[in-house]
Amino acid sequence: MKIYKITFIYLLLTLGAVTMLLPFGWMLLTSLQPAATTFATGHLAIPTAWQWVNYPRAWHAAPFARYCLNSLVVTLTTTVGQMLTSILAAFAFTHLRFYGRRVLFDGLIALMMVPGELLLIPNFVTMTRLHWVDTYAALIVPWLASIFAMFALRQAFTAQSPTTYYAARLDGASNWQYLWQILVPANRSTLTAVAVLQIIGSWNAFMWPLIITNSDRLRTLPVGLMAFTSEAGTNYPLLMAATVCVLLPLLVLYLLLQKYIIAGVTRTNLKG
Amino acid sequence: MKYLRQLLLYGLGALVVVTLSACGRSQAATSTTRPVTITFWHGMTDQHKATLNHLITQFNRSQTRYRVVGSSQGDFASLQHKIMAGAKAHTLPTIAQTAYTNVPTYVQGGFITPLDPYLKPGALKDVYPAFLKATTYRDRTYAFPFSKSARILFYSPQLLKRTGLRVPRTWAELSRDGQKVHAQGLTGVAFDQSFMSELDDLIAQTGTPLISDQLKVNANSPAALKATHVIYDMLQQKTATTAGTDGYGSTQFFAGKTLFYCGSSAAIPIMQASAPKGFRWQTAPLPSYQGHHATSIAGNDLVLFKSASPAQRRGAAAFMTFLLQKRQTTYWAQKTGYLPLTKAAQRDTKFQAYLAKHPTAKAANQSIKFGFQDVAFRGYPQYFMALSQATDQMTSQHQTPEKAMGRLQRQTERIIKQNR
Amino acid sequence: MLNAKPTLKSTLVALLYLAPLLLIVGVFTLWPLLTSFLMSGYTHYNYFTNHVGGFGGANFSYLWHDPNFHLALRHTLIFVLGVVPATVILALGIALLLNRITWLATFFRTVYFLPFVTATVAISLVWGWLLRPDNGLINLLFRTHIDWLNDPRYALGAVIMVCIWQNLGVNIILFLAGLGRIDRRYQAAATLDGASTWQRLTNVTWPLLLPMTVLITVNAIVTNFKVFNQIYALFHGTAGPGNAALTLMYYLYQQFYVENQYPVAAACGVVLFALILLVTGLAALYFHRHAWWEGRR
Repeated sequence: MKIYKITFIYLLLTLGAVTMLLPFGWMLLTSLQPAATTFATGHLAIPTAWQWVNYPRAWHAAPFARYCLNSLVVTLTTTVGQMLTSILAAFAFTHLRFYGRRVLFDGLIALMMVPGELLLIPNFVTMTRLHWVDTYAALIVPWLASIFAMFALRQAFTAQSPTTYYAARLDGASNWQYLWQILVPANRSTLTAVAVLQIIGSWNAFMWPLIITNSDRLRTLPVGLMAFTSEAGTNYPLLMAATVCVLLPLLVLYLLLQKYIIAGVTRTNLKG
Repeated sequence: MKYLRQLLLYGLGALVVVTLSACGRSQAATSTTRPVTITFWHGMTDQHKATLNHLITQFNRSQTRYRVVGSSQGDFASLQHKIMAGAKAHTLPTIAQTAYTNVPTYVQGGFITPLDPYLKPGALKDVYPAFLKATTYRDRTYAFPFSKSARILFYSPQLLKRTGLRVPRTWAELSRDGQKVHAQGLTGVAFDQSFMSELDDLIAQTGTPLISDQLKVNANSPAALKATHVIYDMLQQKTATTAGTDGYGSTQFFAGKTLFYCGSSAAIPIMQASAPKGFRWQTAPLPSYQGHHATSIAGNDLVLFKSASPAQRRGAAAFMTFLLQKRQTTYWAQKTGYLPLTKAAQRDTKFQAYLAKHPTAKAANQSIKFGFQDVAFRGYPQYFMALSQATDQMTSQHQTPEKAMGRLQRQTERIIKQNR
Repeated sequence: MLNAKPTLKSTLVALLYLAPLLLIVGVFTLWPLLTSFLMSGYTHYNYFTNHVGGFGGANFSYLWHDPNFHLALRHTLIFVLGVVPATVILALGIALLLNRITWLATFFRTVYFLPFVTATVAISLVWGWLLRPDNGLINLLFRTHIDWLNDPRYALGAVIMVCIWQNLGVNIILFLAGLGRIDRRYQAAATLDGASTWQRLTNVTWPLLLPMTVLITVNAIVTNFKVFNQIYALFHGTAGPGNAALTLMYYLYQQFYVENQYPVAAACGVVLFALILLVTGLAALYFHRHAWWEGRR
């Protein structure tokens, strides 16, 4: 590539990056402001006194350690569960032949369109009938399947060359073996990307965990963020400090996982 | 072979689910021993939550028959969602904090029960009339007053001194002040996101409230329109502004270019915490209109749900009565900035000493005398939306009061008719 | 095998694979959906005692006559049209650029991911400040004095802007994943054949990226039809000045949680569902015609 082309690309990316960074940076700065700072002006203010104390203070405003544990348990189990159910279903839709395949798939895609707010209370009633209110099961089970994840994996599996499948089957591999030993590793990039999205979704889920739990024992981090909002206003510096704490693990996770998203194929090719 | 493995996988999944749910349930079951447990959902957070928890602990220590377990459900919107879901699934707590205006909906839903059989006669005798009217619906007591606040006027003494003005006694004076300082680049008054409450006050001050106790709507009578014009004209002349997406007019007030701010007394603690360095402010009751004073009281009440056992109901009433005692209600008022609910509390020497020390709290307490609350009726939430839409249209789309209030009149009449 | 005809046995096997997903979706999505579809026909309905007074189209005729619903419908369509194409195209462009660089690649990829992990409340607050009329960065940039969030003429535009920006993160990741699984050997082969960058893009990358593009488009349509959180947070719990940002989802929320008009909310849900179905159906039809829906096979 020519040098000016590269420079142009970096210029464009940097421009975009600034707009992406700005709100996040603002969040960080606000989290270090003293509470007495109002936001009457739109300026990006550098705190006059760095209030690191906001972080411990925010942390102690609610039982965040317990919330953190709950968030971890719920996020991990739901993500693993979602990936498993989605992989199995996506495989069936792409590699198995059965009656009503097209109709079933289109029907599932249609269900993606259901507005979630409509499901909240009926699902709560179901949970009551199952006697699951205020249990981990209620936080986890409804989210063990994601049509979006299934759809994403199905799109990835579709793009897989069918010759590998025939070759594997001729070599005597069962469907089950092909799925886990060839198809899943080959689609690591999509799997990782989808998993990251589901983790974030689950980590940030707010309304369902609030509705379904009654006590601090089972509540998750986003519910904890409510501690800074009251009838009369919001304590923004503390809210932002807590929000930064909640988001940081996601950022670290993404940093760790992004190499799998980007370089999925080159790696598997080396093996094959 | 492969089926076996699949089966194993599913089995494992099912096992996890069963164990998790079993764990949850076994823990929930152990907590019911001798004292009757009163579960209490509220919308208090941070400092207010700590204050409430202190009161709950005091009650639990004061006797052995009942044990109140409070749990914060986030802000009031989430609390409403929780109550709605709980009512639908029959998993409501014993008591909850909610606005009395929801009582008609709850009564219709059949999940709320009157407090009368469990309260001692005269238990509410000492409560201010301003709070008392809202406790009853269809001649029964459903809502027990709890966290109440009043609309008040905030002002900056420095700015008043500089402009040579005094705290306005009447709305006419207030709008004149706005015109006077307009040339100096100052705004007269800042409202919150909506000027609903102030409009409600103004119309009540004409002698006929927006909605009468007999559910007669008074939105576009000549008197109501004239009252609406007081605020509308100020907004048009830009001597008044609404907070818009700031939510609260305090943001603008703190910028130092606004003489007055009409806000809730519940905001006092947060305003104290967030005022810029060196910015001094004081409070006063809202101005009068046509010689009348009327200040709307906002806030929340406690309600008792039908699903509670007789013992729980008695315990709930005991807890509510406890909160109303002089000691508790003055403690609550001092710590949170909400209003003390009884006359005895107001007369209390310690509370008077507190007011002397905290002059910003005086205005709201002075306003109780002429405080009033909207009448609750079925369809109130719809009316509330219609009112907020009407004020919004006057603000952001510059619709004339005649048009906006005319529509509000028709809408409200329809809502009342449909919900009769 | 892939081209074999389905048999009873193969159907049973496939059902085993599908069972976990179908079970969860059936109980927690399909069932509540059916109940709320039913509820949209209830009249004189008591939500809490479950007393149904009658059955009919009254709730739909309520929607038909409610000017706010018309407003919500119009805003939703404008919103989706404003957000979806822009966010998909921008995300594709940025992903292609991100895929080409090596120096500081991790940094850039992380930065573009940030809006997605930033909580909506925080984003809305920050944008609230960026969009302020006095000294807001957007106004400084464009040299204007627009009160974006409090002027009914600009409010919806502001939401569109924020949502495009916020949606980018997800779509970039998905595009990157799609690009990541394209065999680099194809690219190398095309380069050897003397294909220009543009030719490689249109002839090699684009066709291979199609399944992912379909997914991203469908997903963007679906999520943006259901926009709610951003509006709620940006306008401090309202639907914007003069209802300027009232969308169908917001309308549904208001009817259900604020005004307690449960059957009306359910009816709105049905309309919203049908509308998304229609639009995605049209998109799917288009993809079908170009044989993208089913992939290359």
